[in-house]
Amino acid sequence: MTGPPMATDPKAPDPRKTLWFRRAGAVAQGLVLGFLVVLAGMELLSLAADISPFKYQGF
Amino acid sequence: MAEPARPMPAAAAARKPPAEVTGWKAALAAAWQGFSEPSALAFRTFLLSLAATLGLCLWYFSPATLAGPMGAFLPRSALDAEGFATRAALHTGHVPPDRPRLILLGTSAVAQSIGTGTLLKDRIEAGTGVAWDVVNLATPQQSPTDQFALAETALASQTAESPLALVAVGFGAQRLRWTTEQTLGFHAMGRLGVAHTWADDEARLLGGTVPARTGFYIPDNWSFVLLNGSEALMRLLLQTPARQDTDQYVHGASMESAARHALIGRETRSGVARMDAYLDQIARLADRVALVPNTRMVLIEETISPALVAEQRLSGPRAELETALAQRGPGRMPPFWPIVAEADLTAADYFDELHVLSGTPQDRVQVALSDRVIAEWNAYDGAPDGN
Repeated sequence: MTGPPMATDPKAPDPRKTLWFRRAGAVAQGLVLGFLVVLAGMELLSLAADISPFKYQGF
Repeated sequence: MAEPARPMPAAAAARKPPAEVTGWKAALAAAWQGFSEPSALAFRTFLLSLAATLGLCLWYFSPATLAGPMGAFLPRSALDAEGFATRAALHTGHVPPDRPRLILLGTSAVAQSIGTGTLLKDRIEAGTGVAWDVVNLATPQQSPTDQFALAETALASQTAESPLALVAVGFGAQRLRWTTEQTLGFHAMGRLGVAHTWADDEARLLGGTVPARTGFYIPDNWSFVLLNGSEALMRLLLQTPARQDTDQYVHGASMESAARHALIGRETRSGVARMDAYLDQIARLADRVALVPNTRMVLIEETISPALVAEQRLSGPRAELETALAQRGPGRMPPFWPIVAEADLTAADYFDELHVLSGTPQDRVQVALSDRVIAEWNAYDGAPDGN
């Protein structure tokens, strides 16, 4: 027999745990994006201001 | 028609995941869903993370933080000499000295002639009987205003109770190549994240305009922060500081060429006309340094290949410069230490026209410099001069 598991199915995921993991993923997304956006902003600003590492003898 | 069920092989049955993995799969799927899909919670966290990272920048890019252990993550790479010099200068200027210090300023030629500086430090400590700090602030094509800025930053911690600080500044006819325009152009680059008062005053005196300073590190060192910011924050996050390649100037293929020789020769010879301006600039730096208690400034000879000197007829400008320095008198100018001549280097000791090879040539320069430092220490009475 197929179909959605019944609430009493012992193999069905715990909805509270599922929600907790989904929230954890959302928090991780926000943390990573917030950090990377600042880094990307600095890189873009340095490009816009034409700031590049000082090159001497090809270093 | 459905296939008849086949019996599961024994090996496959053994690999069948236990029942609880089903729960982990669901958990990972839920986490991935939360991570990869937009949501109000993700956006709120993003805003908080953005604010926290900007706060991290404000905390990290401050003289106090960069002077501490976290400053080790500032240099972008092993070749980022400006980052290492900035970090070293800020550290030296923030930590009250408990021992004498030798602070080296100069170009890549000075940096390469000292290398790691291990022999120099060991010999000075053995010869003076006290522990020393050797702070190498030499950077590629170090401009005159860079030297003002680095000296001001590194000497900020020097007080009337501090042990001797010996500031050794690279000197030589090749530095006559620095024109006013070039000096001001390099000053405007903002290659270093250090103090600006002395350097800005010097730039104004040369007729340049300097940006308004706010007293806050990030706006006052905007170019430096933008250039180093992303790498420094990633290094901080991953806890992976760069290790300086002190011999970077002799790695890889030499860039030496006849055109470079001719350029150095032409600019040095034409720089003879600027000799007085060069010496005046050194005198102004020495005057600044003299106002810092228990501090001495000396001029150390920068390396230049004898082959280049002969080829480009630079003996004349070199002799003229040393004569002009001597004629100004020992009271008005810092003493000159001809450490390259004392190291007795030959053309075979050079990687290119300005940089000595690693190993024995570096050791000979370090021996010559350490002998001079030991003699200076023995002549120094150790009493605070109360400046």
